[in-house]
Amino acid sequence: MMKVMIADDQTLIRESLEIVLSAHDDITLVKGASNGSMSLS
Amino acid sequence: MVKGKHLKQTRILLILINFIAVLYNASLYLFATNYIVLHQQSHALLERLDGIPGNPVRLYVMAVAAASILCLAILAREYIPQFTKMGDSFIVVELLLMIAILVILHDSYNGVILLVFMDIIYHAQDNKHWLLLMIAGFASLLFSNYGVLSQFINFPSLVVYLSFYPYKVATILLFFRYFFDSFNIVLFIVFLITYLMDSLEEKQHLEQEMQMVNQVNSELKNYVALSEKIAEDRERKRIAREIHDTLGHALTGISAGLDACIVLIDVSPERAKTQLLTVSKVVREGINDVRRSLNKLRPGALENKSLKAGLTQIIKEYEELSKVKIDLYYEWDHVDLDNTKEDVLFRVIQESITNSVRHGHAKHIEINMFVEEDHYTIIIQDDGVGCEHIVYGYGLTQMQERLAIIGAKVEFMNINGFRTLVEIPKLKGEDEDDESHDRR
Repeated sequence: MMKVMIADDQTLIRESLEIVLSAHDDITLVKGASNGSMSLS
Repeated sequence: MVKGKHLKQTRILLILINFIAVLYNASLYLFATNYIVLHQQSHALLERLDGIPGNPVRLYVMAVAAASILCLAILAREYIPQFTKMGDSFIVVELLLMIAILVILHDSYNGVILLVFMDIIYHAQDNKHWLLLMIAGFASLLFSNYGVLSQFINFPSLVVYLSFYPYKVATILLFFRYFFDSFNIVLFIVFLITYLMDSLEEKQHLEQEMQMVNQVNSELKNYVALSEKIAEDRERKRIAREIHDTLGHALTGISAGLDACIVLIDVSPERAKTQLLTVSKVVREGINDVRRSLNKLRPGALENKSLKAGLTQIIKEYEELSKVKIDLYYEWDHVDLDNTKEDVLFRVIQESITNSVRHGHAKHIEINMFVEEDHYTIIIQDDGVGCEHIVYGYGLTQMQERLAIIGAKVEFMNINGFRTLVEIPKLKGEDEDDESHDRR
């Protein structure tokens, strides 16, 4: 099982990628971030 | 030609020597006649002379007067601007005075010929004919020699007058007479050599200056080309940044959003619809960002200014830089065109002014902008050289293409210089006068 975190400042891109990736059973999405420091924390 | 110090000095010496020589020869006639009369030898003189001599006092006065006028005229020609402007007509005066002196002195002194030719060469506008003038001077000197001319005209010979003096006195008097002749010739040759050397020096100096000017011109061209390249690169980078930050950003989001819609459309149509609305919002934001970027590409003179104000500004700049007079007759105060049309028309007028100045060498340009029933008209007329055959190079072609984008047409004519006629079709809402007329 793959865990994926999406970090992008554009909400549309984050949400779109979440929709596309969530269609795959072997990918687990973790909470996304809108910038680098948020993604590290 | 710039006259060197030595040339001017030689010239002054020539004038002086010739004046003294004329004075000397005239004095010889006067004093020799007096001597002959005193020693009661008049009948002997008349027997030896081929012609009847004139009044020696009158001869003396006329010779000195003619020589004074000639020398003053030669000096005045250089130092008094009114005489300098007379140019070739002054040469006629000098030649007439020269002939007068030759006749008055019975051809006993013909050195004034070299004096006059010296002045002709000195004031010659170009150096091409100096050799011809020199040959003409020497030829005149040769043929006006007493020995040659006396074969055709009976002049009373000065040598006959001097023969009445004691041998030694006559020899000394003749010595000085020939001394002035020879010194005059030597001075004339020195003048010619100095003139040649000055000409060569000036030519060298001009060639050096031309080389320097060409070098500076070349460096300036390189600098301009480099500046243009740097400006171009800077602008390219700026545009690339703008495109990346606006369009690039938006298109990436739109692409990802649409990919998500493709996934959602089968799984959850409602969520797909919500996603499409979000994509639509991003598209609109992208369009606004692009509009803002395009506004930054407007001509600098039109930034935050009306078309009239922008044109007034560039007209002022052109008038200051190129000393051309530009009159603007603007009757579009009630016309409201969009930015694209204003940008195109601004560029077309700017290009026309540049062409008028650069190619037409115009001194006066008139720009008329008025409104007709179904179109707006711009007429740009200059008083330049025009062109016999209008060749559609890059500039004129660009103008045509730009105007075609806004539906306008342009015509170029060779009338009283060069004329550019632009007609832009009217659209509803642009002309406030039409709107108010419709409301009535």
